Amino acid sequence: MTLTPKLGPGLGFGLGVVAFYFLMPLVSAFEFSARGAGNVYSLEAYGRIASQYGFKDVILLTTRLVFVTVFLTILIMVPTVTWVHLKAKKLRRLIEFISLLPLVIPPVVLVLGVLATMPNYLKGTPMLLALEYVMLAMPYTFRALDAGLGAIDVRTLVDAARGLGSPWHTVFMRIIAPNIRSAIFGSIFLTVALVLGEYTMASLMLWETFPTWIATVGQSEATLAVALSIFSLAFAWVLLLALSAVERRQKGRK
Amino acid sequence: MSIQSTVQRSSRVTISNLRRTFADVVALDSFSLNIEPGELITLLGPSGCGKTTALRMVAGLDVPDSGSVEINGASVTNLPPSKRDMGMVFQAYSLFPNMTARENVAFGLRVRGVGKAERLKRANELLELVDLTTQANRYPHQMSGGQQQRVALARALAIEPKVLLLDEPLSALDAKVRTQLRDEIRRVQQEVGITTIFVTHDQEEAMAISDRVGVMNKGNLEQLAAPDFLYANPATAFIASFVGAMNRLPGLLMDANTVKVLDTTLKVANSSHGFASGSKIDVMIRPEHLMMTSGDIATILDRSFRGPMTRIVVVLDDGTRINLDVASASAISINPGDRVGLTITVDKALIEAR
Repeated sequence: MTLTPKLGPGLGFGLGVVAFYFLMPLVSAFEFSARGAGNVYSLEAYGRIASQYGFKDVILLTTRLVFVTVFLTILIMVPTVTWVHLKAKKLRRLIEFISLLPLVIPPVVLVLGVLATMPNYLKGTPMLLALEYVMLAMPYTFRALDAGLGAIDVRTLVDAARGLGSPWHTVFMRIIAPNIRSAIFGSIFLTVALVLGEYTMASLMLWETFPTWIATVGQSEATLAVALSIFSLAFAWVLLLALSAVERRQKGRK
Repeated sequence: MSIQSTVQRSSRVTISNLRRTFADVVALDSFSLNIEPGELITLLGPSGCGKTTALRMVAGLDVPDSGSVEINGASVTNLPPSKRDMGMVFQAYSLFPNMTARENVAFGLRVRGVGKAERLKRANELLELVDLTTQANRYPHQMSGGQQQRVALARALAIEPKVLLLDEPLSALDAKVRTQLRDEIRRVQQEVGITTIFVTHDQEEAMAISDRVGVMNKGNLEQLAAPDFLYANPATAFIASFVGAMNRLPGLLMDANTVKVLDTTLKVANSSHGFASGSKIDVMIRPEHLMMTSGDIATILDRSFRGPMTRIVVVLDDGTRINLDVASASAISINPGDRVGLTITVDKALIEAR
């Protein structure tokens, strides 16, 4: 039986307050970005986004970072968390603690540590930034994947698949991944949102990503900067909706 | 379908001196077993006795500290599970949730590169074998526990395994389904003729479907015998208590080979008991080996109707409680408080320390 809460006056009021809290800044920002000369509303600021210097490069770099970060995060975290569930349940708390470290270590320390230890050929490439983002995504992806694997009897499924002759890569691709699909998509959502919003590390490592570019543009033109913020939010939503649609489509197939 | 096509051949399994420890705990010690082709052997024992550990090592899902497993004379001890050609059904529901029943059954064949048409044909044949043709397109969450375990059985058989391993496949099911599936497993095993190792803690299950039963205790195989022989001739007091119901009656050891109990002299079944003559010991007597007579040595405490038989509980004057079974038809006149006599109907029994 599913219990659906009735939208009574108390719940309605609460939801209204929350909606106001989240939507009001967005509405205000949009209103500000749409103010044209002589207090006439127009979308002129949005029309100028694509023609801004560096826009194309920034979008390309950020998109590359999104894909590389998501790829590396899933590649590293899915086998790791699966291994913890299969072979090292006792180490789960320790690994969870390690995964939390990027939240408590200041970004400047992480950046300096990475710059001091990574080989030179990586230092000139944005891949180093992607590796930093993989670290930053760890606390969120660990939890999402841990919850997903906790919801299935992963050990029995793996034993069954291995007993039927599956090599490990088949076990991952055909058994584990499809059964924690929601958790994997959750991890991807969080990672995408993180990369699209991360400013400090990109700035410290002197890469111009979408968030740092918005900050630079905003120093000279406030209306355009706010329009860019709204645009970046819409871009993130479109990306997440697209991912969500893919997930729903796969669920629908099942 | 050709049922025999389901297995490559009936295989002989030889397990020699398997040992497995977890930290300081010896889970399995000097475990040896020879299984004839087409035989169904049950490993029976309480939780933690090592039966599942033994099965997992045969499957390759666990690695022994020492010892070997051979199939038809060839060692598989160091092979990974994916190379052993063994079909396994687990205690927990193990169907892949993202696949239908048919896809589950066909999975092992897909991994082996069998073409789609052939693997679907074989999956359909096996679903027919377990009488689940109508459930072929259902997902595990749309099936009952019993149906899921039958699909798991079909899936295990689909890969034409050399040996079928069943790890308490019935323990999550309710009593009625359990009995039905138990009989179905035996039917399928006999039709297919596959060598099978079945693990359970349920002695009734073990007795009902096995060619031979191996009773395990504290990591050791204490006795391996046909069910009726095992029941009638338990090698140890543990087996006597674990397999079927057993009374412990106070007795006196007359000499190494005879014991006196309830004024009856019996032969001692376990000759290497180590007790001195004159020792006060317990004598193990099954409820059906006791008969009520007219007399005055025990008082009826209780009776419980169990269909054709009624379980009577009596108490001796020294406080020892004894269970015995009598035909329900003749139990009508038995009432709590009545004084009765008792006669033992066997001529030998196991003895154990009091």
